[in-house]
Amino acid sequence: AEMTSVFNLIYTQNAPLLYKAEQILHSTNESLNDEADACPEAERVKITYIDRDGETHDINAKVGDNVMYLAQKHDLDVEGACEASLACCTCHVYVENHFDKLSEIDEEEEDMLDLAPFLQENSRLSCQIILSKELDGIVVRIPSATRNFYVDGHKPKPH
Amino acid sequence: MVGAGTKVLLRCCAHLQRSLIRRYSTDPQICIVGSGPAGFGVAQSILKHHPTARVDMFEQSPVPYGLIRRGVSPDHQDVKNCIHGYERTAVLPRFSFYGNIEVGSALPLVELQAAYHAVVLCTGAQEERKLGIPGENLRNIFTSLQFVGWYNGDTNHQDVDVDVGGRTVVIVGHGNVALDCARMLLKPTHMFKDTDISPVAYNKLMESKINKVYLVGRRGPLQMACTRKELSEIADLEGVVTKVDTDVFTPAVNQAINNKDLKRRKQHRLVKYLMKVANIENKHISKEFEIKYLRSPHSITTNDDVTIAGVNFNINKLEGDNVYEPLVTSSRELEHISCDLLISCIGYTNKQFDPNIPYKGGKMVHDNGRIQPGLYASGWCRDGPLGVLADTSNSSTQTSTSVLNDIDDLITDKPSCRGYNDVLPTLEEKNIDVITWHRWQTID
Repeated sequence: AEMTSVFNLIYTQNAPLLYKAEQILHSTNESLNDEADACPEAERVKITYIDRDGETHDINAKVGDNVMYLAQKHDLDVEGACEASLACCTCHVYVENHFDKLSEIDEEEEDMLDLAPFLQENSRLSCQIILSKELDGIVVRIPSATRNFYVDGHKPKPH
Repeated sequence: MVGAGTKVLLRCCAHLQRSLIRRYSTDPQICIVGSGPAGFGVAQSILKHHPTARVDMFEQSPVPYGLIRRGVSPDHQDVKNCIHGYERTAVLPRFSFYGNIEVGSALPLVELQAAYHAVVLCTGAQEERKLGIPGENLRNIFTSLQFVGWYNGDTNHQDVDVDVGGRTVVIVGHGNVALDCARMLLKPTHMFKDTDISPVAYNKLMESKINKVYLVGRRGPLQMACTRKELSEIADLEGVVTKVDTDVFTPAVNQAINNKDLKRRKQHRLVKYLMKVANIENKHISKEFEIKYLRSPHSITTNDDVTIAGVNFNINKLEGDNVYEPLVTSSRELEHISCDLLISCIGYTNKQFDPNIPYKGGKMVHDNGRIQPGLYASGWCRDGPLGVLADTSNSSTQTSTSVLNDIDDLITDKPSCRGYNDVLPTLEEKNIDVITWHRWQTID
């Protein structure tokens, strides 16, 4: 029984990676290639993502990178159900700094933000944020969509 | 592209982990009933967060996707982009689709519950609300499912024959479905030429001379269920004027839309937009789109006892202190609107899925999607037929989390569930022609 729970713990924690592996094996267009390090200083942009658990991830990105696709490429839990076509709000993020340096929001994005849970004043859709040198050092926080998210195997105590 | 070496390595790791797990624990068998956005949302989440869970999806229709396929307008194809994600899920090894199986009558829910560790109901809302007024059975009156089914070429509504030969249409309802129907009639039909609109509907609409569409609802602008984006698609149409009686923009409404409450943001943006675009006339106007408020359908009039000639509406008043949720009182005063076609878009309804599931106020009684350990629900069948894709997505995330939290206990309680193999005898006995994913793809 101990072995079962140890294995369950290890494999539950790795489940998202296994799922990603399954997707890659069954798809044809995924690429794990990463060329950000090879570009000149003038095109490098540093971005920090804060994930749902509050952990920070510093990524070396480049000018022109899309904040949503970049997060997905680095296995961060940002969804993009409509594939950046402004038909959903699953890529909703909070922009913690440089908010006024973002390109002006248009009605279409506002329409989708209307539907996002836990909306704040600094909410934006990450699929609409394209990195520029001005946004160097930007910090983006992923909202927690639900309140009881125990995917680390934690079990509430029985009562 | 992933290199061949990496692929082999990943495959070995996956296989090793899976075979190790099988020696020490049972693979959870999860059943999802319904293949629309709620069902696929739950499936994706469970497969992503559990390394060995098997997900079987049962669907009553031979074709998947539910309303995403049937209920989306031909000019809204980008909403269907989420289908790409569903297709990727459908071919994963731990997922199986079984179509043409009606859970409830053909395959009893209790059998599913015995065969699977967890059953998640994602069956949506199956029925439309009726107007419930005299004259409802006269000719050229349709519900939204019938009208939408007609222009989408839905095989369930092949016998629906909409007569668009008249001039005036009344649509009852202020939601996005009502707007979809209005837009089909107001947008120049040639713009639908390269969409998957039904050819029959396309040809009829090309001949149509409809030039006035009323959108009638029983409350005021702050209660409209539609969204700004959908409204703008009609208001932006060249040659169409959007008419509104500006009396409905009372001082109370004006004050409300200028407060900064983020929770009311959607409604404020909608009303502000409406005020901006209403009643802008120019010499190129050829069609009128009139939004009427404070009108409840009373009875249908006819000149020949066969076809509709118009609708009588009760005139309503909004009262009380809550400007967002006012008290609606009806006066005895009637207003008549002549029309040639009536479409009612007043929402859907759930009939009770199973007598053992508790309901309250038309919604299932649940705790974060859990009805009882082993039985869960997500989407419209659970919380009522309101909400767009984003809401369903949130609902599914919440429900799948409950399933994942319970899964260890569920396996302990039922160590010998075999999932589909356990229900196969019943399906064979009833001679059900199960449509697998592969088979559906060949039909599609």
